[in-house]
Amino acid sequence: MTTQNGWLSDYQVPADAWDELGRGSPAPHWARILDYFARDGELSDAPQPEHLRAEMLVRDLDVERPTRLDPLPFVIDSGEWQQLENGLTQRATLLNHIIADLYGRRTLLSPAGLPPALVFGNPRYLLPMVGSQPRADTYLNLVAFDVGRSADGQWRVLADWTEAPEGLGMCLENRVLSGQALPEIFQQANTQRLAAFYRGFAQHLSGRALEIIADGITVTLSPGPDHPSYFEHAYLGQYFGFPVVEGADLTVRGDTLQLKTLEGLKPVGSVIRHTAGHLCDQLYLRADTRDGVPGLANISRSGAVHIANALGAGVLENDAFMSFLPGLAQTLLGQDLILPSLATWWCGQAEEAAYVEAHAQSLHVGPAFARPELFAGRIESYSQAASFDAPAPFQQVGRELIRASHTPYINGDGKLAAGPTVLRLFVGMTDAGYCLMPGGIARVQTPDGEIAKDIWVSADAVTQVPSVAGSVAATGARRRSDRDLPSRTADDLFWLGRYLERCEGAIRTYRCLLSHITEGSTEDQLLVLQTVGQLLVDLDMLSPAQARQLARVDAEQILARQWWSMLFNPESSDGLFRLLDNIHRLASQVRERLSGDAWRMFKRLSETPHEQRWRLNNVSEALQLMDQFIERLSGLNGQIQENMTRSYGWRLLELGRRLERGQFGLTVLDALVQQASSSTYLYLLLDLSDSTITYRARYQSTPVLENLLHLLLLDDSNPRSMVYQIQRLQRVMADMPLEQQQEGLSDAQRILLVAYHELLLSEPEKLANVISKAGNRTQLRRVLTRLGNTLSSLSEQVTETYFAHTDSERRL
Amino acid sequence: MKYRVQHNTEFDYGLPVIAAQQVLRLKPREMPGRQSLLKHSMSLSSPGTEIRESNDYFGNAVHEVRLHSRHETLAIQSECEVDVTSGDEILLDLSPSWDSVAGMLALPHTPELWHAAQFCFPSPHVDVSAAAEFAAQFAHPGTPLLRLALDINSYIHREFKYTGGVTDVYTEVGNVLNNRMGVCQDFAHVAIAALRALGLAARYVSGYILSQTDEDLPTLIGAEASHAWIAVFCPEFGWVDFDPTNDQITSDQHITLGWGRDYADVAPTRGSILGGGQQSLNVEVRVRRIQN
Repeated sequence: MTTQNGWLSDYQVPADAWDELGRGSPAPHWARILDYFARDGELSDAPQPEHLRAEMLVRDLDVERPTRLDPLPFVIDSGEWQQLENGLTQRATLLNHIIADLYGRRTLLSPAGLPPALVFGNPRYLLPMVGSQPRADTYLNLVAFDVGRSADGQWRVLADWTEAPEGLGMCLENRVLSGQALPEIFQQANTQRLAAFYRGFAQHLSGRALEIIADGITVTLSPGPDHPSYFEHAYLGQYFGFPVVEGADLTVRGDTLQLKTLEGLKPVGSVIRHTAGHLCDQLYLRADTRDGVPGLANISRSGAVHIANALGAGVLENDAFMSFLPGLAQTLLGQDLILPSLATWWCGQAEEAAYVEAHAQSLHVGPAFARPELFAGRIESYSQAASFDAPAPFQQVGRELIRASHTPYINGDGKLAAGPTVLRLFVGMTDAGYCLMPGGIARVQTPDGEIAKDIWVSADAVTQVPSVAGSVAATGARRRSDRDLPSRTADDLFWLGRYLERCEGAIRTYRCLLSHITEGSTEDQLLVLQTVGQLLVDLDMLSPAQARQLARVDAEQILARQWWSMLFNPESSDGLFRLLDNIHRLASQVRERLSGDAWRMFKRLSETPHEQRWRLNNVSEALQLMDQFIERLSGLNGQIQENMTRSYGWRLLELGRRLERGQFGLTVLDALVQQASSSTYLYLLLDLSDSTITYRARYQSTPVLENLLHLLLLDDSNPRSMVYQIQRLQRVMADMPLEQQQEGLSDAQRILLVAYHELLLSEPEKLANVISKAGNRTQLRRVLTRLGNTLSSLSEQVTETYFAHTDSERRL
Repeated sequence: MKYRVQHNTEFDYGLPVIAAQQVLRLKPREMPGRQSLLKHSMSLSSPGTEIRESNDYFGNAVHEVRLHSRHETLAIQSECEVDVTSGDEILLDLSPSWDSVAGMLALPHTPELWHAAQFCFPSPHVDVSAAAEFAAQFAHPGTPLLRLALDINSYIHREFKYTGGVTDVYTEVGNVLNNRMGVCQDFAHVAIAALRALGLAARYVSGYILSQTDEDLPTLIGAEASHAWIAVFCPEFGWVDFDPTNDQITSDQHITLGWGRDYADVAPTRGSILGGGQQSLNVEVRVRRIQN
């Protein structure tokens, strides 16, 4: 570049590549942005949000993708954008027509049409979907395109993504970050907003849902947390207000698709699917899928549910079809294709196969019907020759090499550098037809790997997504209701509540054990260690052998050496490691129900042992770790109590927690009550129940069993007491959906009411002092046993009533 | 020849199943000139069952069965009577050469060829490339297509050992070719893969064969269970059925249920359940000749 600005000195675009900045001097739309970054001929550090670059991106969307967002956006002239918009909406329309023909009228499947191998040799052409006709013939609701500019300045489509395009969530997040980073320039540049596009896309789908079935909801179908893009699914689901569900949450009844919710079955009208089409139905499509809904293919073919994109839409997601598009545009639309594709030669035809063979050195030869995953395909693959050995010629395709245009980005040294760039753009169906999202992701190849840029389009010359304000009233009422909580998510929340509480109990017990180890080794203490060790065994937190080791005089040495494996052994089927793992897994599964803050706290909680692994050399440091755990757990609980709406989701967490806290209390009482005459044990009991302070405030004396039982069983102002748990359970159950539909009390409410009255009528004095000849406190035992039974039958009742449909599906 | 077929399927799920869905392809096809369906009835052991009948992509009858109430066992009884006519005798050597047919299928110029061409490609259970080498030994230029098909069938019958229990529905063609043993379904998949590797159109046929031991008839393998064989497309002859398990061109002893690209398209039962424990499946098929 021949510019006086020194900070452009590293900016070099090869002579055979197009320069997005404009050769000579930057085009006006770029100059405006660059001026903002420039100061005194150097790249200014003021507007560079260094901290945003790497960390923020992985904050909410833990997906595999370009990990760095360049603070410098990709800006595009509105006239040029208009060309892309015309070309890509036409292309989306064409692709939709092709799919409609392949699955509908099938005029292309004839001697005058397409070669059979292109369709029947394509594993994504799903025969069971033939005959399907979605509403308004919309097979494609969302199409993504990879677009690049060749050296002659011509934009070309490099790839079409029709199956289940990913990236909408990433666009949103990039926009939020780049808007935060550069608020002034974002305003000045009059950048086109994205929200209208997302709203138009979502409203169209929820409108379809309501047309199809009264009160029909729209859901986001995801393969679940094991999918690399699950976080994006959850993020988008949350943004759109469409419940995120897995195959097992849905069921086909009669001619309708139904969501299993906490309130029973709810009709589903539209589905945004992130699951590949052939994996969506184990009865009619691939049998060995775990992500499908049995029967979905059949009812979607009959139009009883709208799937975005239609099952089988993946048939066009390949390089083989590209060379047929100009001809098909003429046949099906009577138009010329506005935007050219990358030139491809599909080897299912003799002439093309011969060409590819003759020019193998200067072509990228690859599989005809398969593509690398969305962000795995590398930009340099467009400019580098490659070979591929396909089993048969029709499974092979050659494509021309192009040098993608270069775009400026800010490199690691804070200098402006140039890298080849490919844009990912999205066309979505709205009530006004196909619209190009005014933005997208620009992926730039750099020596340090791929980075992403937000795409900014000036607002002036871009066709706005027509205002959808008129239809807001109609669909506004369909805001995501808590009542659509899928049963499986409810089940997960319930167990998350239980595990969190179980974790707290376990940590308190560990802490108690560790503090007694440091206190010395009197005989009394050894007995305490034995008892607490046994308690940890009862809680599935230690193996009996480990417990025996810890009840020895030299426990402190043993623990100093082995504390890690004892506490966090990943191989062990019990213990903290497994528990934390479960908590993390469940939290990921209900990710869309958690605030960003809560999610980060969950992540930190499960990372705690790893952070500390090498720092702990002795017992007192292990104790500090336990304190840290308690702090993090309390923070998390505070977050849940203070910032979570009192929705069904919250109630299920609460239900799980109260049940678990009750059971923990009972286990502790049961373990310690035999020795309850000794004050050491009474202190221990208070410690484990986290009630020492309360006791002192209340009784100002050394512990007496009778007082203690009152405090732990009957004191309804003590949040650790049994009666407190029962009361909270009663309150939560009264608000659960299916409890109210019955006349009088539900079984669960009845169980709790009996337990409540039994507790109230028990007398601590007798519980403490009635001792049988064998030395047992028989009355106390009976009360504890009955309470234990109450809690377990309540748990069964809840499981039966609300989660009965959540068993995993199996194929035969 | 008229037959009565009883096909009983019993699932024992071990533990209660909360919901189950089954797709059944148990109703024989109507085949003008070759097979007519006289009667068909189906009954299920569980009350409160939803049954829907439809036709699949290939024109096979499909019953979708949905059970939404708890059950531990499920019995499906399918009973039918069919009349099968043997086709005209086929003069194999009058068929066009396999290579000319492969050429026609690559660039089909009639709707009939175009329709047949969809059976030329790999499908979920038929890994065509795995059979390429195996197929090459039969591919002498100019061999009449039906002669070639019979050669492949005879070879499989001669060299492969019919052995139950060594394969399952997910066994791949490559494995069967290596181990040279399996059941009718494996042999059908191998023959289909070989024919498709040569660019020919081959489909998988599901059905039954006569299990009655008449004095004048040898007992055929594959009786007392559902059976499978193949059909190959030949211009002028149409689809011709070969049974690699029994080394023959089918006549009037094969009762056709339906066809598709491979087993996955026409499995007699296919299902998915919620819940259940250790399950067992018991299938009984009885084919009897009946008097006119």
